[in-house]
Amino acid sequence: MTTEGLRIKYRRSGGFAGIDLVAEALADELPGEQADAAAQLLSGPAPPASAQNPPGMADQFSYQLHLDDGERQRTFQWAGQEVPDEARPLLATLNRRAAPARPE
Amino acid sequence: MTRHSLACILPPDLLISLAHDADPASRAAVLQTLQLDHSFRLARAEAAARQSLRPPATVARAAAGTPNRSIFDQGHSTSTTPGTLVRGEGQPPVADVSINQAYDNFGYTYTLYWDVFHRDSIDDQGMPIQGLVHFGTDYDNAFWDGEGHMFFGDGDGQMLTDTTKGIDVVGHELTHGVTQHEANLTYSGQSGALNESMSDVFGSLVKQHHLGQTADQADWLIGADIVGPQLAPALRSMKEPGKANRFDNQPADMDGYVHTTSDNGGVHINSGIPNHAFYVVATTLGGNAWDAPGQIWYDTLADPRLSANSTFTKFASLTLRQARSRYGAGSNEANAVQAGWDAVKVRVR
Repeated sequence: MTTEGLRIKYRRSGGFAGIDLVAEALADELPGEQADAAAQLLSGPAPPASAQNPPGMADQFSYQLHLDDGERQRTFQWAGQEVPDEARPLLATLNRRAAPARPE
Repeated sequence: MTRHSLACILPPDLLISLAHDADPASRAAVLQTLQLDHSFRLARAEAAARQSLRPPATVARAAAGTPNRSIFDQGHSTSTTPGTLVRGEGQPPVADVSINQAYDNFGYTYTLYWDVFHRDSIDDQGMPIQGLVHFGTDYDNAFWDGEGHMFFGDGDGQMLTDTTKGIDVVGHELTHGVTQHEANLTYSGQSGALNESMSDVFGSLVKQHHLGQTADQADWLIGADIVGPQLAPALRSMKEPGKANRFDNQPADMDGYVHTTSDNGGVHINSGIPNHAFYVVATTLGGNAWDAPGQIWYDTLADPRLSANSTFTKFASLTLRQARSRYGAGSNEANAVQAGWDAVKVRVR
C-alpha cells in the first residue's frame, strides 16, 4: 500500500476552549506506521453516512481527517472518544503540528 | 372583550372541524386555541421527558446541603473508567495539588447551587460528583461526560495548563450536568450556544460567589486561571466577547453571529451573545450577579417551556417572563433583562 502523494488535512474543533486547530501534512513526512494508517483509512471501508456529522458532546473534541492521494478522497469525522485506536497516533502527531485557525 | 365560545377545552380534531365551518372571527380564535394547545402539549411532553431522567423526589435527601465528592487519578490513561480513588468526601487534602483543586472547586460549585438556588447537586437529588484527574497526556481540555463524571486534562502548557485550577472551569462543566437534567439543550446551533452560555454564566457565578465579588468587581473572564501563553489572558470574556485572546472570535451581538460547521455550529463562538446579555443584565442591576440575574437565568433553565431546541429569541423571551413573574412587570429586574437582550440585538417578544 503506497503512501506516495497522500495529502492529509486535519482539523480539531470544540473542547472547552472552543478553538479550531488545523494541520496539513504529506504522509511521507510522518512516521512510517502513521503514514500506513492514513493509507489504510483511505483504502479501507468508507465511513457510514451517519458518521459524517456525529452529534457533539459538551466540550469534547471533534476531529476531521481528510485524505487525498490525487485519485481518491475520503473524509472522516469523529466525536470525542470515538477515534479508532489505529488512528490515534496519527491524530496525536497531527495535533502537535497544528495551529489555531478560524472556524470553517 | 368578545368571548369566543368555541375557544374552550376541546380535542384538536374537533377544533379543526369547527374551524372549517366557523365564521372568520371564530375561526381565528379556534386556530389560536389550537396553536396554544399544541405548545402546551409540547411543553408537557418535554417536561415529562425531563422528569423521566430522575425519579420524583418524595423526601429531601437526609444529607442535602452536603456534596458527595470522589476524585480519581487516571494516571495519564485515556480510559473513561474511574481509576484510583485518591480523595473521597470529607477526607483531608492529599499531596497531589490537582486532586485537591478538583475537590475544592467541586465544593464551591455545589455551594453556589445549594446556598443560592437550593439545588442539591447536579440532579437536585444529591448526585455524587466524580472527578477524573490527569486524564491523558498533555491533554488540553476538561469535559463533562454526561454520565456523572468530569474529566480533567493537565494541559499542554501552551494552550492550557492544569484544568483543575479553574474554579469557573469546574463550575462550567458541572453546569453542563445541571442543564442536562433540566432543559437538556441540544448541543448544536443556537440551543448549543445557549447550553455553553449557561455553563459560562454559572461557572462565572461560582467564581464570583466564592470570591465575594459584586458584578462590578468581577472580571467576567472565563478560563483565566488555566490558559497557557498561547491563549492568555483568558479563553472568553463575557464583558467583551472577542477580546479575550488573539484567537477569540466570539461575536458580541447578533450582527456578528457566526454560521459555521465547526464546533457543532459554533457553540463556543455564538455563546458570546447570550453571555454578554447576562453581563449587561448583571452590571445594569449591580450588586451580586448570582442574586436577581442568576435567579432569573436559573428559573429559565428550569422552566418547562425552555425546550431542548430553543433559540436565542425563545430563551430571551422566557428570561423576561421569569423576571416579570418574580419581580414585577415594570421592575428594575425586568427592565435590566430587556436591556441585556437589546444590547446584543436579540429580539424579545
